[in-house]
Amino acid sequence: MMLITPILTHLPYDFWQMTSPSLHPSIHPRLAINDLAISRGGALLIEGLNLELKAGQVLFLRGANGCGKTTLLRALAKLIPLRHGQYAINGVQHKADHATLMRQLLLVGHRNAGFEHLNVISSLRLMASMMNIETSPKQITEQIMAALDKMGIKPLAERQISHLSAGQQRRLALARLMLAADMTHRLWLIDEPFNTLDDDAASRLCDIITSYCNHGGSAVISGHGTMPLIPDMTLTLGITPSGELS
Amino acid sequence: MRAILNPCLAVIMADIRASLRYPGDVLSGLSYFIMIATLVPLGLGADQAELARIAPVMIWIAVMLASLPQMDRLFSRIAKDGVLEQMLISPTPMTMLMLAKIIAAWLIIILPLVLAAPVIGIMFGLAMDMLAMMLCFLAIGGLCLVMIGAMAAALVLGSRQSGVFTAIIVLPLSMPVLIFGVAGISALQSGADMAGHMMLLGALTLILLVLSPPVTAAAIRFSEE
Amino acid sequence: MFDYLANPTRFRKITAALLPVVVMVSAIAFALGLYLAFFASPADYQQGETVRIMYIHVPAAWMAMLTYILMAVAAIFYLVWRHPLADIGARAMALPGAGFALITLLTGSFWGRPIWGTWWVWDARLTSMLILFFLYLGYMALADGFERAERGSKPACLLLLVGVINLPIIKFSVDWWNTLHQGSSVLRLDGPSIDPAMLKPLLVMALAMLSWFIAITILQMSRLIMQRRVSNLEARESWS
Repeated sequence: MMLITPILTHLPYDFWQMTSPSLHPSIHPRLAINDLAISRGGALLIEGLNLELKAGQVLFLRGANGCGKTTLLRALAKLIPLRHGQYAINGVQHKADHATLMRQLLLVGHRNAGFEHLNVISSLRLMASMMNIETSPKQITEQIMAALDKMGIKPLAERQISHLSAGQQRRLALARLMLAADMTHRLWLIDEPFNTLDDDAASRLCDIITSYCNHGGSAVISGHGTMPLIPDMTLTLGITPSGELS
Repeated sequence: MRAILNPCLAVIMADIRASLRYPGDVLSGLSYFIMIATLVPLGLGADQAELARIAPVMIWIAVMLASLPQMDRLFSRIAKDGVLEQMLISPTPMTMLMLAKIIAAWLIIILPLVLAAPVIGIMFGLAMDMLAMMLCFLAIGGLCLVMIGAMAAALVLGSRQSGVFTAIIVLPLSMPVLIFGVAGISALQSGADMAGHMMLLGALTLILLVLSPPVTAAAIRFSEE
Repeated sequence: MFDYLANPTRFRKITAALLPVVVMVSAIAFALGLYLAFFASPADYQQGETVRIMYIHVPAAWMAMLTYILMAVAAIFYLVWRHPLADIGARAMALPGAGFALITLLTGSFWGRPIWGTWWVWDARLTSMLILFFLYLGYMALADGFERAERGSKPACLLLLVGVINLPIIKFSVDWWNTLHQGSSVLRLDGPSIDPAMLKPLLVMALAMLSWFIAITILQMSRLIMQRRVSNLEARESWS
């Protein structure tokens, strides 16, 4: 443990600000992390993390490559086991029922998760089904078209996914967020979205996230450098290679 | 219930559509099947009695060899694309989604082989009057093979040279399928009572039905960690 | 108790004390057993001198099966309680276990050749031992078949459990197949009954193999623990 010296700091309370008075108060914070430790390949990446994220807030994970941002995101999605500690999303403990916990979140990872032989609409329809979004088929189609429109890829609706460019596939992956846009209780976990987007797509994504948060949604987003979002509603968690948190 | 059924049906439909759009995999499996059907009798000569004797074994070996490469590729593409990650995140239990994948694999890999089996039967000079029962044996045994193959493919996911591992893992586990299946078809041929064989095969299928989806789901979870 | 053993330093202290004892027991038992087996025990009236191979074949078979069961237990500990020493234990026992299985197969083949006239017979026990050998190979291939060394641990342990469930099924199916085809002509390789004069060398050889196995496993586990520490240190180096 000598090489990894975690600094246990609570984020100062005045750093957190509610953005909009229209948020209805919820009993539980959107995300509550308690004394979290995660190790990967024998090395302790994160230790002693304590955090609370309220509705309408965005948590920005900033750090260089390989220091644990993706690991933390995936651990919150229960893909990676925790070394120590616990977390709760909307009050649902991570050790609770799997299905209930999964209904509280939505992950967009590095990979685009498109079914390469399907066309765009079919792929999104399948993803909506897997996310257990229960609406009528007609409504789903409308929601899908609206999502594609928001990300600027509506003309590509009938195109097969393997025929899309990398940038278009990335937009498609992020369009998935819109499918659950009215379920503002879901915590969005987005892994390095701004790295591979062009300016137009980046600004569209910003609009989507901002609007989501204004309606009470929350997100955890990772990246390096600064993030092009409204600064007063984001908390920043910096992870350095030696494990320091700030 | 609907939350489980809808995604599973959607996964099955997506897989079927994939195989319809890119039939290459299925066709190559069928061609291995037909190759064995034609080359073995050719090499053996025209001795009908001997052909009829080894026919049950050859049919099963042909099914295994034709299905193994396809089962090897069962998860590799969707693992790369990140679809497995999303399946793990889904509120639908992964065990159910894996059962859906297994059913889809049976429909795509085994069903064409079962439908082509009469061709092999004819080439080997098998009596065709018990054809329906023979196809039943192949269908059920094929389900066992798919369940074993899914477990093996999930376990070797992400490794180097996964093809070799899959064969090493599948070989010992599929011996009972071969034994019960060959015994069943031989019994059919000689007119003996094959109900017992069918029940043994059925028992094996039930054991695998309980074992395979959870093991496959666990193995995929390990591979995504 | 297992938490007690889990601490690697304690593990090292216990095994360091245990190792010389086990090695001595093994050496003495091998010397005694081989003498008893090849010189002091009676020849079988039916099989002649070739029955002496049994003194290697049967204990090796016992060890092969025992090792697999121990590995399966270790796999349960690893998958359920994430015990790191359990994974190391399973990996350490794999090669000796595979070796025992191979010895069983080879000695069985040599033993049976004069009796059966062929090198191999598809009876239930030999076939199950062959399957066991493949299961060992599969485990070793899977455990070491990944870029990241520890990535293979969990799938390989899962494979062990699947194997241990399937092994009785396989043995049953081959048994059933043989009764279907050969009637009751399966030879009992360990003779009609165990004469007490034959039992003693058998047990001594079994003890010898068991103690040798424990010694080898301890050595292997120490080596693997060191190896893992080195790779962990290297990983931390690359982080900072």
